[in-house]
Amino acid sequence: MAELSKDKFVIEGKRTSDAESIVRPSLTYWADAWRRLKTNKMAITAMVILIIVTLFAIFAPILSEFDYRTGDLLEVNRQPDAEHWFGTDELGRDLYVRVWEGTRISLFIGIVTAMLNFTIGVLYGGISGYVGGNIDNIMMRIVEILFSIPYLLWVIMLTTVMGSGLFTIIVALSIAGWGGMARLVRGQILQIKEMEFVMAAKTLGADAGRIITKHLIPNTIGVIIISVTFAIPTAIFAEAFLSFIGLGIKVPYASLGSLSKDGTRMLLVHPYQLVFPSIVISLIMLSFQIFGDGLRDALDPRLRQ
Amino acid sequence: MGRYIIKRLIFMFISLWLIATITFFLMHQLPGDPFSDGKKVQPEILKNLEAKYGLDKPLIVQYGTFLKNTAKGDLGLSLKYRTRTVNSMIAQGFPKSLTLGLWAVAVGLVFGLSFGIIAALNNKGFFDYFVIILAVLGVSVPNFVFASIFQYFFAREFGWFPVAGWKGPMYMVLPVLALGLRLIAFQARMMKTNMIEIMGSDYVKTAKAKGLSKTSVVIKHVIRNAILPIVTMLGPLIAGIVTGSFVIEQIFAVPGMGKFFVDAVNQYDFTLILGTTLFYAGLLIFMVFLVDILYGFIDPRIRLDD
Amino acid sequence: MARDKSRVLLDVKDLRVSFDTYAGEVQAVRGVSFYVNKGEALAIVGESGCGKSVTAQSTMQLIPMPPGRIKDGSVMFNGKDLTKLTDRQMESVRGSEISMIFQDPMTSLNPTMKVGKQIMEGLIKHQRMSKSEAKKKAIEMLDVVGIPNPDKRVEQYPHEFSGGMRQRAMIAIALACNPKLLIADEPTTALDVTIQAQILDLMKGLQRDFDTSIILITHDLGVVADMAQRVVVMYAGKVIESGTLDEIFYDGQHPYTWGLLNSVPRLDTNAKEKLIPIEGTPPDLFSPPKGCPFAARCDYAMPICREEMPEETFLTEDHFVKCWLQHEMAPNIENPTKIKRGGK
Repeated sequence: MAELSKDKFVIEGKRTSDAESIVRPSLTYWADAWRRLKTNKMAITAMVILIIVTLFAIFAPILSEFDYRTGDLLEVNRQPDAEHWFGTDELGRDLYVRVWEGTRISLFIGIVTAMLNFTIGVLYGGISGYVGGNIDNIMMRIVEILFSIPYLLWVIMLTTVMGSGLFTIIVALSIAGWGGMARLVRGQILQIKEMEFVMAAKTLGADAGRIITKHLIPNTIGVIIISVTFAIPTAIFAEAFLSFIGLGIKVPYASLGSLSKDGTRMLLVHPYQLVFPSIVISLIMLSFQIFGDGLRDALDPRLRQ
Repeated sequence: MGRYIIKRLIFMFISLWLIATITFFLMHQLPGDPFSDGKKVQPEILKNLEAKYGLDKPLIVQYGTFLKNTAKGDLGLSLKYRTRTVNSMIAQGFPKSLTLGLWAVAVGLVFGLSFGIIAALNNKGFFDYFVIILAVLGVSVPNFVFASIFQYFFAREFGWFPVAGWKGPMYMVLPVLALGLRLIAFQARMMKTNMIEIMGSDYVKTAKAKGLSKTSVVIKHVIRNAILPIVTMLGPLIAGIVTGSFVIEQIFAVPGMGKFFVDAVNQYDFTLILGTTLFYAGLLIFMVFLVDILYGFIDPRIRLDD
Repeated sequence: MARDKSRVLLDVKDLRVSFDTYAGEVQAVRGVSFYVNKGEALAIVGESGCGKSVTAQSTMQLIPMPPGRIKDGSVMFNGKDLTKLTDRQMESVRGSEISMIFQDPMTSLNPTMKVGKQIMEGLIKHQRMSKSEAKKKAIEMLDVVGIPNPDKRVEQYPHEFSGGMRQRAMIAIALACNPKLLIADEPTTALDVTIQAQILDLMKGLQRDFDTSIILITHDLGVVADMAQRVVVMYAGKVIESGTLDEIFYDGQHPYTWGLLNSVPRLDTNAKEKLIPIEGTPPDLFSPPKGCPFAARCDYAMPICREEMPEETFLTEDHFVKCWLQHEMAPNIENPTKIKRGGK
C-alpha cells in the first residue's frame, strides 16, 4: 500500500450532492410511459398497423375508380384480379373499395362510440365518486340494474326500437356501453380521494374544481385511456354482431360486419368474399388488443419500477 | 347466509321488473304497424288481431296484463307465428342452445384452465408463447371468422365434420369449438396471470420453505387460489356464450334459441323479442346470483351475511 | 467467543446474488460471508434494500430463479454446500433442518387452507406422519406457540386469526419439524409494538427449548439487543462490520454502525437528545460505486473512500470492520455514539 499518500486520508465528510442526487433520471409520467411503450415492439407494430389501416380507410375509396354503391352486373362474383384487387360481390361491386369503405364506417363507429362512452362514463362516474354518500349509492345501483342486461342484448333491444342507421347504431352502442366506464372512473376517484396528496391539496385550500383537474384527472387518466382503447374494438365487434343478426348497417352502405356477414353466406362458393373483410376486421381487433395491452403496461403507474 | 340470499333475491326481482318495464315501453314506442308484413291487412282482421293481443286497450292496462302474465311465466303469443306462444318456442329452441352452451363452457374451462396452468409453469417457454398467441387471437378475432374458417376447412375441404345442421354429436363439434374458443383464450390468459401472481406470493414462499415439492406447491397452493377469481368471472362469460351463440347458430344452422331470436329480430316479432330478452336477462341474472352463492361456499374468506 | 469450527452450523462464504431485470443486472448481494454457531442467534442488520433478505432467502435457495441467480459463493450447512444440492435434496433440508418465517403474517399464510393443514404439510412430508398424527402434532405446536383453544384453531382459516396469532402460527409451521436453524426475516416489523414484544419473547423461549439457531434479519436494533449474541451489519450488499452484540453496540467502528445506533430511540437517554438520522439514500445497486458504498453519506469520508473498497480489519477474533478509518494513516475519530457499557 505504498502508493497511498497522506492526502487521501483527510476527512472531507459526505458530499451532499452525491447523497441527495437522484440516482436515475426522473421522467415525467408521459415521457416514462412513452419510453416504455417504445420498448414494446409488438405494441408499436400494432400501432403502425392501425395507422396504415386508417390511412387506407380514408384514402383507398377516394383514389379508386370504382364506387362502393354501384355494381357492374356483368362483373358479378369475380375472383380477385388486377382490376378488382379483392374481387367483386354478387352485385358486381368492387370489394376492394367496399372493404375500405366498410373499414371507414367500422372505425368511425368504434371511435365515436368510445368517445361517447368515455364522456358519459366520466361524467356519471366522476360525479358519483366525487359526491359520494347516498347519491353515489343510488347512482351505482342504477348502473348495476341497467347493466345486469348483457351488453349485446341491450344493443339489440335499442337498435330494434330505434332502427338501424349509422347514427342510431352509435347511439345504441353508447347507451348500452357507458356503464363499465362509469364504474371504472368512480372506483378510481374513490381510491384517489383517500390518497394523502389529495388531503394535502385540500388542507392547502385548493377548491373542488382545481382538485379535479389538477389531481384527480391526471391520476385516473392512464386507466381511462386504456379502457377507451379497448372500447373501440368492442364497439366495432358489436356492430359486426348486429350486422350478423340483421340489425347492422343496411345496404348499399357497408361495414366490416355486414361485409363479413355477406361473405359467410357465400363462403362455400366464393370464399374470397369473406377472406378480405375478415382479415381486416381481425387485424383491427388484434392490433387494438395488442396496442391496448402495451398501453396498459406503459401507463399503469403501479407497474412503474 | 340466509339473509344474504333473501336480500339478493329481492334485488334480483327488482332488476327483472325494471328490465321488463324498460323493454315493454321501448317495444311500445315502436313506430308503424306490427302486423303489416308487406300486404295490406283488412281493417276487421286487424281489429281482431289487436283485440287478441290486447293492443286496443290503453297502454297502462296492457302493461298491467303484461306484468301479470310475465309473473306467471307466460310470455304471450308470437306476433308472426300467431298460433304459437313464446314459451313453446323457447321450450323448443332453448334445449339445443343449452347443450351447445354447456359444451362450450366445459370445453372452455377444461382447455382454458389447463393451457393457463401449463403456460404459467412453462413461463417464457414455447408453450407459453403458444398460449399468449392463442389468447390474443381468441379474444380479438371475432367468432364468426373462426366459425367460417372451421366450416370451410374442417367441413368443406377436409370433410371431417358436417357443414351445418343439428342431427347428432358430430354436428356439435365445430359450433362448440367456435363458441368455446374465446372462452379457452380468456381462461388461459387469466389463469396464467393469476398463477404467476400467486407463485410470487408470500404464502407460496412459505410453502416452499416448508420443503414441499414443486408439484405439491403448485397443486395444493397455487392452482386452487388461482381458480377462485375465475369463478367470479363465470357470469359475464356465460353471457358472452349466450350472445355468441346467436351468430354461431346462424352460421351452422343450429335450430336453437339464438336462431329464433335472430329471426324474431329480422321479422320485427316484438312479443318474441320481448319474451326472449326477458328470458335471457332472467337467466343471466340468475346465473350471476348462483355464481356468487357458489363463490361464498368455495372461498372461506367470503362471508355471505351482510 | 473463539471461533470453534465444530460449533459452526452454517457458514456462508463470499455469496454473490444478482437479479436480471429489464434495466440490467442488480447486484443485490456482493460477496457476503458470515457464520452461525449452534444454538446461537445471529442478527443481520441494515436499512431496507441492503440485501439482507436476499441473503437469507439465498441460503435456503428460495430466491426466484430467474430473475435471481446465485453467481458465486458457498453456503455450508452441516457439511453440505446448499448451493450445490439438487432441488429434491434441497426440499428435504427446507422445513426440516432450516425453516423460515417472513415479515408479513397477513400474506404469508395461504388464505384458503386451514391453519392446521398448513402446519401438517411439513410434518407429513418430512416426518412421514399420518394425517391424524400430524394433526395431533399441529394442535400441540399451536399450544406451544401460545394460541388458546388449539384444537378449535387448528380447523380455522388464516383470516380468522389476528396478525400476532398468524405470526405465532407461522412460527408453529417453522418449528414443527424441529429445525436446527430458523431464519426470521423481519418477524416483528409488521406487528403492533406490544405484539412485537410477545413474539420476541416467544422466539427467545423456543430457541432455548428447541435449541435452535436463529438468523434474525431486522433493521430494528432494539430487537437485536433483545435477542442476538452476534451481529452482522450489511450495507449495499456487503458486510461492513461484524462482531458480538457488545462489540457492535459499545465498540462499533464503522461510521454506518454509529449512524444506525444514533438513529434508534432509547429509553435511558435524555429525552432532549435528538435522534440523528442518516441522511441520503443507499446507492443504486444497478451500478454500485467503486469505493466504499457508504462514502457518499459518511461524515468521515476521505478521498480514498471514494476510490477503493477497504479490506477487513480484525479488532478481535470475531470483530471485524471494513473502513479506511482503521488505516494507520487515517486520523483518529472518537466513537460519537452515546451508548455506554452498562447503560443497556
